[in-house]
Amino acid sequence: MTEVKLNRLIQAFGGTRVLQGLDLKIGLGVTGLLGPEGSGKTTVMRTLATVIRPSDGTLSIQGHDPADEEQRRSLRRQLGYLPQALGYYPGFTVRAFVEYFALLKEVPNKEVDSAVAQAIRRVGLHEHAGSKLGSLSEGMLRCAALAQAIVNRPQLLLLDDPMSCLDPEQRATVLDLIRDFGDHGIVVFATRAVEEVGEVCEVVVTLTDGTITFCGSVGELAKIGESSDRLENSALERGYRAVLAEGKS
Amino acid sequence: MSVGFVRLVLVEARHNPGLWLCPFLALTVGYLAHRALMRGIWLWPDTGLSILSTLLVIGPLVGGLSAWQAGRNWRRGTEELLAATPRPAPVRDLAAWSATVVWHLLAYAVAAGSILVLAYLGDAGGPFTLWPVVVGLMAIVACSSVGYAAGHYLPRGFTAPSVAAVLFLALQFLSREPSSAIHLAPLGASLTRSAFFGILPNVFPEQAIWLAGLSGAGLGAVVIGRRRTAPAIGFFALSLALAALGAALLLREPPWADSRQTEAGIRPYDPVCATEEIPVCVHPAYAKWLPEAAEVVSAISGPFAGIPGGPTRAEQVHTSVVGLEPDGTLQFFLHDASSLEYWLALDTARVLVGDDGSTSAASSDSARLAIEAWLLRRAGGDPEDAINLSETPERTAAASECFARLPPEERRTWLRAHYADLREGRVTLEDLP
Repeated sequence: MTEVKLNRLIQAFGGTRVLQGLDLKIGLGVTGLLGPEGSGKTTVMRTLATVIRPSDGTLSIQGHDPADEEQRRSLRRQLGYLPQALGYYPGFTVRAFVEYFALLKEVPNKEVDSAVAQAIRRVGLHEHAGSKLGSLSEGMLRCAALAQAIVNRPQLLLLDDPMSCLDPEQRATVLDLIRDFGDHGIVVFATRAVEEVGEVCEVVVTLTDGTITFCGSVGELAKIGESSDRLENSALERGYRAVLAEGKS
Repeated sequence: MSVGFVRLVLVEARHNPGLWLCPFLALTVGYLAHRALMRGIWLWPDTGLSILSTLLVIGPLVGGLSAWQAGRNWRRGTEELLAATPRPAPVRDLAAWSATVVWHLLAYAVAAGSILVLAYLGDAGGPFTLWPVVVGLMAIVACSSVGYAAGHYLPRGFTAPSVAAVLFLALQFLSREPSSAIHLAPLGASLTRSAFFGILPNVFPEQAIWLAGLSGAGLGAVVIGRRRTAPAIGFFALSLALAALGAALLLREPPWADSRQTEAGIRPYDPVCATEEIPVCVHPAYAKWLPEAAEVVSAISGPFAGIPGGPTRAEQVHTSVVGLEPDGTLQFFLHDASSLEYWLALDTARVLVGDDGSTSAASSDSARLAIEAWLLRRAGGDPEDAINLSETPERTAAASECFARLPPEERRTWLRAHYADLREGRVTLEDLP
């Protein structure tokens, strides 16, 4: 069973509802989570990453119930998470940082070294494996964080705004990586950039004020845009704008 | 303990600030202990206690560094990343804490080991004990654990210096406490710095219980902060109970538990002696001080040698309560450098003239003080130390100088005739020649 199911999922913080009862099923492949600032994308990602528990409703990931401690632990072994706000230890080298997370993700001891090397190579940081994180550029740091996310070869890869600060070469590397992981598992990719969704996602989910306003293929979203008369943007962009406007109204 | 956990600790340890501070900590412990020991001679109990007393500086440092390390994830914003990993948070904390404390323990152990080797090479005397080092290591763990718990609950920048300051003040306060609470700060009020007695554990086992409980309570508090499970609460409660038991046992001890050391009895030894006008003997552990001690004792006791009731032999004893024994043994007390440089001459002079230190206004005491001042002058001491105790210091000083100016033979004749009366307090200033 390789799917994520959200059933009437509500997240509320201090009386404010951030997610308003989401019903969603995410399957194999790359799913783009699109929405403006404050729409609830990061809250969805944090919930899927089992960092926060749902206030109400149910969540099932890969057949596991994250509310159960044992199942949550088992699920986290198959999970890769790149949060939007990236924290890191400046004194750690790239290799040590990725190794640290490999050990925290309970990668079998014999596989740790090869998994670390492979993850670092995969994000294109192999020449900087011995560099301290404090000495890296923002883009490289993002790549190092991505390496920790994939070091356990996750079945569910959650990437919250992974493209920020990346240069074109790093961007291409990361897009390739997302496509590859999407071929074998579930990738959920939260972003504000419509064109990024068009580049790698098969399915798009748009969020507005904690509510799903669209869920369908990239082509379907673009089709909505075709009827728009604002021709200065791509069809996908126009489709997103139309969905956004409808959601707000 | 899994291989994965050990690897986690190793990764943490390689990137722990303790790695860089380890040499500094080791040098600090080594310097403080060595400086304390350089004031005197090398004795095993003294060596152990000097190492232990460095906790006053090292304990707060260790606590502060541990608090700093505990707040790392909060400062670096990695909590989010870590929260999505399967390894339980308490295990992560245990790995981070272990990597912190291991450097502190290593620094302390290296410094303590170096001092012990120096003591060995310096022919340290007295009974050997590792209790102070063991308790010192346990105190390092306790300080680290308490500091880590504080940093866990208050992961702010000010927590580390605050923990260091609070620990320093607590240790400082407790170490000056004239009550049994002094034993809660394991800084060395628990063992006599004497070479004469055998070693008793004294309060060290109770301190070990107290520190083990404290360490467990600190770690337990961290675990409870992460997940309030029954085993975690049980471990915390058990640790608190252990700490309370240790504290209760320590508070039942007398403030100066080193007095219990006498229960171990004096260990047999062959004294080493210098042949002066009378033989002057010391415990072999104090052999380094023998020439200086013999010079002082001989200078003071020489005029009484061969006089009936006078000393026939001088011997170092374990207690500061000294006297002239009926068999002619003149007792003296050597403890530290100050006892050699100051108290030896003063105490020996007092014992020889029969002054028990409780001076009264009686003129006979002034006569004894006058002779005492003369003896101090002979030994290179300060005669004022005796004269100032007299009610008539000018007259006493004059009498002392007058006595000093007498030809040696005349002085000796007078002493031979009046020594018993002088010691009994039956000689007045007017009786002095």
